[in-house]
Amino acid sequence: MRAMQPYETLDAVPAPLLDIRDLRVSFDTPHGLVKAVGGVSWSLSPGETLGIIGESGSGKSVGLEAIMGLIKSPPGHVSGQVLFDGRDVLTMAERDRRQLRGEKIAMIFQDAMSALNPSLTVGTQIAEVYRLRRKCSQAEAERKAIELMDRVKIPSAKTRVGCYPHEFSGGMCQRVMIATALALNPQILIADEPTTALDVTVQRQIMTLLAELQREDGMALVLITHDLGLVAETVDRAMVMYAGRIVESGPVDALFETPTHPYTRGLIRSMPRLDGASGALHAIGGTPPAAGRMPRGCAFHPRCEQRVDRCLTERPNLRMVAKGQAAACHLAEETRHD
Amino acid sequence: MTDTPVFEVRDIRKDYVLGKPGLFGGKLRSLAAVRDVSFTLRRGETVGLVGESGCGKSSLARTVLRLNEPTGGEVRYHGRNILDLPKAEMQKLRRHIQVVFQDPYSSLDPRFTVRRILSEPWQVFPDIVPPARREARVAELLTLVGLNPSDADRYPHQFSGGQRQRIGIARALALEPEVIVCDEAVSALDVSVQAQVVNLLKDLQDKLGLAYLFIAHDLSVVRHISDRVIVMYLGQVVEEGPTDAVFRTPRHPYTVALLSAVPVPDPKQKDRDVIVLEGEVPNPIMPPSGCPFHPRCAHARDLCRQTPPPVREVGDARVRCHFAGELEPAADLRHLAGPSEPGDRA
Repeated sequence: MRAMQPYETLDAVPAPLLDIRDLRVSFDTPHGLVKAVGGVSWSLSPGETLGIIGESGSGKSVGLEAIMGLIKSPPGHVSGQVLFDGRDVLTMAERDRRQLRGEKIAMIFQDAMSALNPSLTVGTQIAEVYRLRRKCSQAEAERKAIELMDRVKIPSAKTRVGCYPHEFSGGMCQRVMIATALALNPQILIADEPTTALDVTVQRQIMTLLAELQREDGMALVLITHDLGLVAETVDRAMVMYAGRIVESGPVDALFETPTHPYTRGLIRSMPRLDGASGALHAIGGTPPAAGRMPRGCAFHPRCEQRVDRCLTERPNLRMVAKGQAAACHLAEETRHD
Repeated sequence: MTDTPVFEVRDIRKDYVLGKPGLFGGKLRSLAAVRDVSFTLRRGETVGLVGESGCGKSSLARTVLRLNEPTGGEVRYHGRNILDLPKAEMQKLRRHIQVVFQDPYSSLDPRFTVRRILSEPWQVFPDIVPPARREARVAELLTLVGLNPSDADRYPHQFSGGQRQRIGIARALALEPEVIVCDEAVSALDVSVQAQVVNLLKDLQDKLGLAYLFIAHDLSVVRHISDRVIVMYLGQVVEEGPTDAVFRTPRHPYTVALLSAVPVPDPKQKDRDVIVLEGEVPNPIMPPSGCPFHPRCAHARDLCRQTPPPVREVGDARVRCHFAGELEPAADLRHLAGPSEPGDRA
């Protein structure tokens, strides 16, 4: 079953690099099967920057882990298709999948400090994948590590290649992780909350660096974040996730100009503004549903101010509401321009 | 009441001594985590404290609460210096100055029911609520923070992050304090829930006349909740003033850089010129000569490298910069000025 037709028409123009079709992820738990991602479809073109917005538990990270083949089964169950250059990542042999990771798709995480091995030098870690895959000498690997450290602008790379992660600040550790990810020139970089643990000026340095690297290499970037400011400034297109599904997607200008799903609108209105024009914050009442306790109908209906009877029983599908913009709300058309 | 400050901090200083003296003495190295910080909190007022990791904001919070003993300065509660108080008296005074921490997951004891968490402070301060009234008071507190009285029998793990933070706030309120130090109190919460807790803090302030010292790294939240704001860098206050003044026309080059770096949730502004600060915050053990910000400052001149800047009054703000008020900001700051056009927000 293809639940989300609009997406395929939307992305038909350039052949997508990554094409996700009806991806579902669930987990066996002592309380029964719990759905984490409930049928999402999206695609990524070469060189594109895509944002995935969502709060804790929205399924934004789990979905990406599934794409990378990082979900253990059991207890995890993954279904759907993840096509990279036309080949399905989910059904390929683990060997091929490993080849794909690092070589074609690389990932960086929020907490660089703990993602790095404290007992290995940063140089060793940066070049490890390169050394194993390209079967090069230690000396060659070190040259590569220094080159990568230069690329991510770690000052005096030559002398610091032998440092350990604890000798680096949080921002520098994130640069080390980016260097590690870049070692094999991936076509896609997935960044899961890459700057959430960093200070605002360091965040700015890292985002500027990512944008530069992307310009130089033409690499596609998937930015997973809860920060609407980062999304607005960084990406071309974004998807908003809620309770394991995409509730809205579209070009970033349209999302902020005419947010269509009430959850997207709520998120934008609940952010305090730096220009002081906020007044009382328009908080969204209630809390996101716990996994395993999904409401019937639209998952957002218990928190929605505009719900009608239909929302309680019938789940809205994601559908096009404007050029390139799709929303999963029964009332999308009526409430769009208020 | 409104004119006498509830809480007053004067030239507070906290040095940490590093290591032990060697056999032959030798010079002790020390780290000045907080250097001569002063501020005043009045009833119903919020002072925001911003700065990046290592700027001393958490040290300052711990020091004014006397969780760490300051090296110098004064902390006055209703005019009385609490740093001179003997331990027993300090303990009594603690009920008036409470704290809400960042992590609602680790600051509540998982083995206790919410009722026990909220009534525990009354074991130490039995006079606040007589035993016969406690059951009812727990229900009142829960209602006050937007929870249900029936939640009293549940355990922390049965609540979401935002609800747990409400419990943390209720626990702080159990002792009927006048001052609450909010140390990154909303930083761990999701945006939609964060807004609820920020609104709750504001409501409680209106109802109870609480004074907040609000420490956060999120500048937009600080902008929203604070009456006055303090910007710290390397243990020092670099800029201080009414929130509107500091956020609309920041004068210290560090404040300008900080505000310029905040990502703005408006794609129309993404092409604005942003200051990307070079390098990192210097090692506080060996702070730079002169102005501690000079190695990263675009405006630095010889004077800045040699002489620590005095505090200068510019408009309503106090700025620690030799050239405060004379510099043109090196960034495009239109995102601070107000909505870029009417009807901008849905």
